[in-house]
Amino acid sequence: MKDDAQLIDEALNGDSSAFGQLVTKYQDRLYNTLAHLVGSTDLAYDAVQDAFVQALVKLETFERSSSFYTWLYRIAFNQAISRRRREKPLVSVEQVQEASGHEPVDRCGPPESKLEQQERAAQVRAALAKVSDEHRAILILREVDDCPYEQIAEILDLPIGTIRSRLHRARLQLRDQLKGVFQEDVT
Amino acid sequence: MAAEIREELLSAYLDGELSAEDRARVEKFLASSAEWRQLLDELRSVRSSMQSLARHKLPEDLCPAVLRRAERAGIGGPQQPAAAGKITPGTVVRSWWSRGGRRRMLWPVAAIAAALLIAFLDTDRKPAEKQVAQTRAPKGETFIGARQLAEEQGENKSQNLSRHPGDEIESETMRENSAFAKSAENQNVPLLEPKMAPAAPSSAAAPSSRAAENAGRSAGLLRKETATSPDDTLTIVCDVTSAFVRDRGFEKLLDEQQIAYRQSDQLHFPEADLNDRYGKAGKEPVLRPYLVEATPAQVDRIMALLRNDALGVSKVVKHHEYAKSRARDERLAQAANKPTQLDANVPARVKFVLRIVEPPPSSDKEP
Repeated sequence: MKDDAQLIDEALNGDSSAFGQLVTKYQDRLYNTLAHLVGSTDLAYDAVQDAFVQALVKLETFERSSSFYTWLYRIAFNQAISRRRREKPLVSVEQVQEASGHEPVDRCGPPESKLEQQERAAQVRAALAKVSDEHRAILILREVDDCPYEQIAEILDLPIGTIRSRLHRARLQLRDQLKGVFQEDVT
Repeated sequence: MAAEIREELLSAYLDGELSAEDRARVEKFLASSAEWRQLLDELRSVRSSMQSLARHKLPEDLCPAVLRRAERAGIGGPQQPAAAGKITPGTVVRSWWSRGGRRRMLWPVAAIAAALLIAFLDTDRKPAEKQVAQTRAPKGETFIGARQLAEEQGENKSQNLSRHPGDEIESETMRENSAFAKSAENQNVPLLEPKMAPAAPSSAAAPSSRAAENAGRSAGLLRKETATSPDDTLTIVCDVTSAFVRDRGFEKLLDEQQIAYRQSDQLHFPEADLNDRYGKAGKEPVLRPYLVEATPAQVDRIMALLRNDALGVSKVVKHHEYAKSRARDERLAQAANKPTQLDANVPARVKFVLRIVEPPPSSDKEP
């Protein structure tokens, strides 16, 4: 299995299938992260595609001071945010999922019933939607994408100390929102 | 302030992102503070909640679409000399040129040159006649663009053509060359990959001069007016029961008609407007949008089938914004002295929005 640097070299030497391997490697991860970030699978789909296209066209400018995924994520993040500004979704992921009864692929989780899991996930999404953009981004990078602090710092272009404090504040904000959601649910 | 710093350490402790020294400090503090232990539990709960979110999986491999779009974007990129063998916009220009781009470019260039020549030589014509001569060149260009597009459409039929008129990567030079192509994409190119059924047989599926001609005419006619305005998408709102959705009634209907579709999660018109227009009783209606690729005749057929009482669909309504855009199209068609049904056989993107409304309770069950 070739590493990213080798694939990038081959892509720069004209082998488009090498870049195809990078797409295959990262597309699902990027899509999942962006879908949670912007709250729309359609927007995420378009943003991921745009990001890969832009990455390929600008591959020569990739300086390799960070990992390829970090660089790609930054492109995708900007694409997703600008797309969301242009095409603000009026029906959210959760509304559609509630309507269709479809949930994305389940992770292995606690032995709750499927209905309970769906309800809880809907509550978390509702709470997450109320969190500020900057806090949501850092929460998703850490909890959904499982990025270490160092990578989050690279992606968001912030010092690690800022990441640490922002992540903590984001968790507190989400905690408060979750309390609100649970209370609304009870009443 | 000091407490806040320590709290941050608690979050980093949870993530295993502390040095050994800091970890020991936090553990010592945790042992002595019930408040901190509670906060740590809350942070764990938040993390667990986030991790309970389901993972979204792409419906298909993006690789073919990405490579194709990159090539298209690269064509319009800055045409600077490229290092040998490297993927750069310049390289893409060369490969496109060698694959027949030269031949494709010949027609618009020839049309423009011819128009200029006529305008230059024929100086004694009346002003009105000159105007006609000048407007012919863009029409020729439009038609050629449509033919190219129909050819490409045939080549790429099996692939997902998710094209974006607003691509930021596309350069100004490319925009100039493909102004029509974008308009035509909005009108005629299949933007959806069949999810469960093969695409309906149509003139556009098998590229022909007739299809290209229709594409050229209709798209050229509506060049400025269609573009990206979301209201130009025909949107049909259907009131359905949850059972209809649960039984995948709409999907089955489309499958039977061999019509390409995919689910969407966006509505391009204000939800409030929709709710006001179609009524909102108590609970927020649940909307389920689909993007469908169908000819006008197929759309009429779907609507007729949906109006079958046995399906539990109580209302099927075209969104009013479409009527406006259609009226405007017809005015433009009349102004250009063209028939309006030229695109009748060309599939276009249509949005169906299923609005889940439960049937009203029967009177004998009411208290």
